[in-house]
Amino acid sequence: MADLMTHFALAYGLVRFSRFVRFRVIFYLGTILPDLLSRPFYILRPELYPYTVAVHTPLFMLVTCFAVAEFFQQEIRPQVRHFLLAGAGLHFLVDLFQRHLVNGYLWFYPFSWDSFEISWYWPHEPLRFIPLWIALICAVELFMWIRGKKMTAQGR
Amino acid sequence: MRYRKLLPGALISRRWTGNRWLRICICLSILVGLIVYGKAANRTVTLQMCLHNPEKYDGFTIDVGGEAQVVQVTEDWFTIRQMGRVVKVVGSHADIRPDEYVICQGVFHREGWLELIKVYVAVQRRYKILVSILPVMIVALLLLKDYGFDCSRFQFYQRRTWRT
Repeated sequence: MADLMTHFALAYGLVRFSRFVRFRVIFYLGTILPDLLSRPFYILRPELYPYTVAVHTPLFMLVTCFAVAEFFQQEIRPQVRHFLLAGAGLHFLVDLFQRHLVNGYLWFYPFSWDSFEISWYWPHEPLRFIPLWIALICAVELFMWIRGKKMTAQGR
Repeated sequence: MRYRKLLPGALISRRWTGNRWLRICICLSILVGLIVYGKAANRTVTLQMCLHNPEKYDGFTIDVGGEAQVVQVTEDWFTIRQMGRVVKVVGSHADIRPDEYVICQGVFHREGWLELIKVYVAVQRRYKILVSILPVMIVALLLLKDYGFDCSRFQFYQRRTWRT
């Protein structure tokens, strides 16, 4: 897996588009959900690995997104479902380009145990960009904050 | 949304007004089923299985992932610890250093050692895990900021009202 900071940074870039604004948190949640549900278990308890095989798969995430959306108020449930799915989709898209020594991701689980990946980067390689992602996010947030303050001042 | 056409209408419809808890139970049942199937149908031979029954798995090619940490390194071999058990791996790689995490593929021998085929050193794995906690915290904070939880209905609601 790419680290969650990389996944988050890419999602952050996308939520700049206006249609993401209302459900940005849901989109972020969808982006981190596949790793959030699978990694802690086998990092803390490696013997549980066979049980986590299914979790980081598109079908599992599809059903999870449906289940999670049920815990939101009815009026926004369809949108929550869509944004969770979009976030999880972005996560899998990023992971598709990753390289593995053995056992890649099971895209068609449980129908197939075969794996496929584009193999552009090793899991540790995005780590070097993390300072850049953090700096960019801080810069954008600072810019938005200053612009917001200016607009408020002009409004007065 | 375009993917609506790909899924059964009842699953995706905005007018899917069946019992909410029934829907949750169906989803959870599917998830449990997928997890159980993943365990039951997984034919991967693990290092722990080999160590438990070395005669049976002698000569098997196995993949060692999941938190295998390098303990000791020499020119020709190194040892890894996984789930409290230390195993000798014959073979070498320039990047292997004590305390690093590795994923390796090798041939298991009944004496309890591995003959290395290939290895990937998960460089800065601890750093990776640590920085991954940050976005989880950010999302949790943003979720609490933007959404409240209605305990009576057991669901989140949006704090801010939006003009649509």
